Amino acid sequence: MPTQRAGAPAPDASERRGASVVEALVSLLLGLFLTSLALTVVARQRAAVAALDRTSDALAAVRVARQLLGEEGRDGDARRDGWALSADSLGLRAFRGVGYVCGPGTTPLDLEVEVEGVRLPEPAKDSILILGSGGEWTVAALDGATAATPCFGDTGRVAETWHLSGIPPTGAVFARYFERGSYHVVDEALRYRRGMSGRQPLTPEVVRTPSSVFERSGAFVTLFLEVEGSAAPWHISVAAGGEAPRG
Amino acid sequence: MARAELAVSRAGADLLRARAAADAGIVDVLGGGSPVPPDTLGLGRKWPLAAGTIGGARYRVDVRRLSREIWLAEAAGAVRPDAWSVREARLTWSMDPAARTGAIQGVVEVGPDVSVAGLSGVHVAAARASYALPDPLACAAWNRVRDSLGVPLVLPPVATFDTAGGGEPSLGMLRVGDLLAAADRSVSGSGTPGPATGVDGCLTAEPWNWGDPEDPLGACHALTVVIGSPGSLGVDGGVGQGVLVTGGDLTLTGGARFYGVVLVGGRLTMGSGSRLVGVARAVGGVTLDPDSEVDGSGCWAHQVLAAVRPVLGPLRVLPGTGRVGPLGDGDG
Repeated sequence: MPTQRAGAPAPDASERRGASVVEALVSLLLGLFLTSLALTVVARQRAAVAALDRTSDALAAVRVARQLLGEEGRDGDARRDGWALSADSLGLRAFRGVGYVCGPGTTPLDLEVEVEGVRLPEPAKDSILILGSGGEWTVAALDGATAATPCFGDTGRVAETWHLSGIPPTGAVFARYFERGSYHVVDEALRYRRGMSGRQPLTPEVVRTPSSVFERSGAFVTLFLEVEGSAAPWHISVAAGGEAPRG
Repeated sequence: MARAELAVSRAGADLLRARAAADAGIVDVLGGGSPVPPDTLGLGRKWPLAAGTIGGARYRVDVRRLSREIWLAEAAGAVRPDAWSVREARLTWSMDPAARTGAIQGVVEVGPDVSVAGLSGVHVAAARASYALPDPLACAAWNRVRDSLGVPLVLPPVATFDTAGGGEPSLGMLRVGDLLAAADRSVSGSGTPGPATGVDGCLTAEPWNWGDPEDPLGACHALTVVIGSPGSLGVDGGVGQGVLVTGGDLTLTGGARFYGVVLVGGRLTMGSGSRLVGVARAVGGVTLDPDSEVDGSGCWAHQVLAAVRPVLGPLRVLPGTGRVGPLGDGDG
């Protein structure tokens, strides 16, 4: 604690008060400045975060569109699978897996298979393409699927008995299961629609519609995807299996 | 967020590299000079075709037998060492002698609405008949195959084949163009085939040397070839064995003898004591002079197709199919 030296004059009370006002004013101004600065930084940061969010959403939309359409296109064929193209949609067979044929089942409509893919076959929505030993494909609806005994040993695949709507070709050797679906660029997102059900969004709602369009270009179908924050559209090309679909 | 974007971008780049490696591997294998898979491999079994590294990503290509002739070529690609990150597959076809012989409907197959003259010269030998010339062991192999396929013991002399594929005398998925491109030797005009030998033995590169099945001790006894002629061809005398493909007519004269499979884009004419042992397919019909003959033999057809499998058996992408998938995450 400071002590007053003996013999020194005592500080003037008014002098002490004046110094306190200046200090208070400086403090006040400094506080106001710092508060203003903090508010500005916060505001700018929020704007930056929002911009970053938009950019991230836009990049995610482009990435999802590129990945999904690329995968669907790789496994499909425009002519064989009857792709349907319009400015805002691409309809196709969305393949979900394959089946290795073990042999015929107990009835002419049954087929014993081992399956693998991104998901198991679902009778409610899947159809089957069956390859005969002569190289011909036959299509049938999948009416049911029940568990069966594996025929190729320990492959890790799932063995099933498929109950089909039609008789599979003689000497069936291989199968592919798919659902009929379509991709749409509507309502500010890329959406997927299975059959006649609703269109489910696959991307954040950052897609500019209707300026984002599907177009046929040679052996490819290209999605010109315009997203928020991007000056030019992204070109997402899907190989159409050697032949582009009819527009 | 920036770190997350960077991580996602890196993962995407790794996936692309792995996929590019798998693509390159399978294209390389199924491109020129693809190997012939072993016909002893059981259904559902895999056979390794190739493995390597491209652009820092590794790949592996296997082929899995789905039927006698249809094979699934599977490629896997990865950047990381612990697991394969992408898998893709293509359907392929490889000529199988048993399947091709088993598909024969008659000793002489012709296109629809064409004439067959001299039918009495077509002999419908029993599939088990023992010929003096072909290797008896080869016939035993064919008989085993015939039994397993349920092929009729006796073929009819003449059958009509389906020309839906363009009316070509194809051999399974192999159209005339494929057969001509794959042929060991290309000939045109007319000539006399026969064994050609030198100091080093059989001169296999000679275009008119089609082997000599009639001389068991000859240097060219085992030579079995695929002969292609883009247009019409005349064979005047001589002897040969293998698969003979012509884009136009084929005329055998002067006592010519041929053993094996004949595929004719036009009309097959046999005269002057000529003889064919095996089977024939002629889009434009057949004319046999009274002193010529066709001895039907599934055994001979099977034997020559087995001998030329290295030429006609390389894997080919099945027409009308591209990639098939998606496959699962495992190694299958």
